[in-house]
Amino acid sequence: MSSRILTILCLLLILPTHSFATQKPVRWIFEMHGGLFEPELSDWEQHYDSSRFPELGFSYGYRFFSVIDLGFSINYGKDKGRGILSSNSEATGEVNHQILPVELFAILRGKLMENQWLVPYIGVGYTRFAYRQDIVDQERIQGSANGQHMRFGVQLLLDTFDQRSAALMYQRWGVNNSYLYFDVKETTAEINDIPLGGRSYKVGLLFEL
Amino acid sequence: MRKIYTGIVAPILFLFTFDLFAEDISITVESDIAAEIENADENDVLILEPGEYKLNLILEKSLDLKGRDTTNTILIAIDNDEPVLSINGASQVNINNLTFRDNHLAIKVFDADEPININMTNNVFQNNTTAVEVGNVSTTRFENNTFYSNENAIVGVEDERVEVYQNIFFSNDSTFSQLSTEDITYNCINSDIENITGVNNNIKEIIIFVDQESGDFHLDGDSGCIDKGKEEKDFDDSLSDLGAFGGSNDDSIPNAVTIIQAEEAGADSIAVSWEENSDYRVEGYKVYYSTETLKGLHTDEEREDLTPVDAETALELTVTGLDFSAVIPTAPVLTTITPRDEKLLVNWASSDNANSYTLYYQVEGENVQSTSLGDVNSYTIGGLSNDKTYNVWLVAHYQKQYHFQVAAYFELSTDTNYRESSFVLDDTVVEIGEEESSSNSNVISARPEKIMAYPNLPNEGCFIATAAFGYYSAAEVQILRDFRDQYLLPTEMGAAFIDWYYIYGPIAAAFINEHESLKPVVRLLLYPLILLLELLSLNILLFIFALLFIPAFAVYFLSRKQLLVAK
Repeated sequence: MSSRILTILCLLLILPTHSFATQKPVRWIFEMHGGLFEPELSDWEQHYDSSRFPELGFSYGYRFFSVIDLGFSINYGKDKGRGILSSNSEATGEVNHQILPVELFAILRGKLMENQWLVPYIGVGYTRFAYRQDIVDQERIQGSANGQHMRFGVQLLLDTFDQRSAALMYQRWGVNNSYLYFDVKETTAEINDIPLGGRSYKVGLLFEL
Repeated sequence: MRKIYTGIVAPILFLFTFDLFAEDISITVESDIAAEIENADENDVLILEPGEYKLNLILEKSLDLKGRDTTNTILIAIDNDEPVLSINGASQVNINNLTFRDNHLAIKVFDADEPININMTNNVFQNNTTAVEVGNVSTTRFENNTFYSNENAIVGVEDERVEVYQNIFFSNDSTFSQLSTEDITYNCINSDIENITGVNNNIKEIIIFVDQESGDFHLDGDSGCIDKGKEEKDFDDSLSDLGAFGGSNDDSIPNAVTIIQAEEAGADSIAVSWEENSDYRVEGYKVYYSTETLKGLHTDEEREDLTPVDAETALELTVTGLDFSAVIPTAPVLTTITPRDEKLLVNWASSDNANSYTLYYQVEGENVQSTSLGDVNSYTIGGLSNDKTYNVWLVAHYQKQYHFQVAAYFELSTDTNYRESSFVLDDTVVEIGEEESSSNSNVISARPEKIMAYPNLPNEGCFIATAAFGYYSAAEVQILRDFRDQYLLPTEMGAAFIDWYYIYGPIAAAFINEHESLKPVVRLLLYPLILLLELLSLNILLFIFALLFIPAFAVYFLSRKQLLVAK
């Protein structure tokens, strides 16, 4: 994992310099996203009925020269399942498992021209992975661990499809560009050798302010 | 084609304009009434089943709001600054058979530009600051209501038009105020309003209710408000009685009867006596009995399988021919015991004829403990130790019981059935003979244990303090934990703070853990708080003193420093 992150960091350092010259300067970005989180633990489905659960979140960041995003993201996911008895591993009781990964991220976008309608991107970042487990009639369990994540996806420029709405968004809200994006993220974090991370599949809206 | 329209389609459309398709919607105290009103169509009838409703409703569409049983369908405001019922914008509203009690303002009819008609019939308004406030609307008609012990009964605002007809006004501080157009006839009024009483057939009469203190506003036989109405609309085809229990919309339900005593009176008989219901219409009493509970059997349909004994006008009766023979219940069968943290969830199959159980549990070599239970088939044993194995078993019991209720009744001239009162909340139960017990059930051994969530993650507890003081069991951390459990968790705001802290606390704690130099700083910041909480645990007055003293000292110290600098 760490070698992959190093590779991506290197990519971030060798940015295509010609794109800096052609792009507009910095902008604030705001994202809202939702999707599914698939925990790394392979037998999740045995305890929670499904191998993935819903996750929502938002991000706020700064866009440098249209090609680098730096920001933070807060995500939240919740799953409901059954606990186990330590003596015989029998499934019993009711458990609510919640996650709250808070991330600092850096993203490199493959944007080479103005009004490019499809923009691929890759990114890496630091994750503080907080968790909470509520077992009915028992003390709440909670904690957090450090981790990292890497992500990739594509951003679809919506302005090219509906320029009138785009103009309206700018007038009313100061939104320069709106994107629909599809994102895959791999998070790695562990506590006491137990993996907390997993893979997220998300759809979101990104607004360049 | 035109003929088809005028001959067939137009009449059908015409019918649709009337409330032929109005629906009766049953509402209970558990219902979301605001949602039911939202979903109801114009002219639907919302029937409120007996119960105490706490609400503030706004009626913006034409509906009927009707209680099933006037005395026992009680409306009280949740927010006492707002009316229980606000009628605002509806063109036709009927409010029937409800009791509005102990409110600041029971009903407010708002001004309306469009012609609207509000009818309030057979309601009881008791102990309200203002019973009804009427705005500028076409017509508000009060028919057969009882206004008792309100500060203001009916208050007008502007150019309202009210018709007040066949009501009883008793013991109100102000009966009518600021009414501009009055049509007040055939009412019983016990006040000194000379210009109202004695004219237009209003009477100043002896008003005797059955028991106004307990909320029974049915008329006693000596009441002067019987048969004093304008038309022959009463249950017995006589002139209408005045007040909430007269006229054509009267619920015709006598009040429930309380049993005074029920006891064994022989080898197969039980003697029952009850309080008199002095409602002048009551013709007699029926004694209901069963070996099963009678609770909640309010309607004729619910009672159709029972065979009551008619006591006629008597106030006591001996029920004979009862079966007092006892039955030995079969041994119960324990089915499952599920371990929980310091608990065991026990389930069993019900025994034939059992109406109670005793649950036994014992650690090998220790005393047997037991719990008496009703007619249930599951129980959670708490307060157990996770490191002990418990043997659990059951015994079923049978105690012959007879449940009694007495209903008052009277006969309607328009109906061949008798109308009976509701039952009181709890049955009167007579236990007969000795209790019979079954043999022991099977024994199941089980050990309480904690449930682990998957994955089994560590609990980092009181994050920031643990990080600052180095370990979870530090005395300072324990003081903070105690404060959390005793003072924060029981309050809504405290619990919300804990939820917030449990999300963000771990992040801060991790940061402190990774920066050793921060730990003394955080400890320094936490010590005053810990000191205060320690004082709080010793003495609340000491805590308050310290809470006031520390800021006062700080202000003094700072102002002194500024003075020195100035000099």
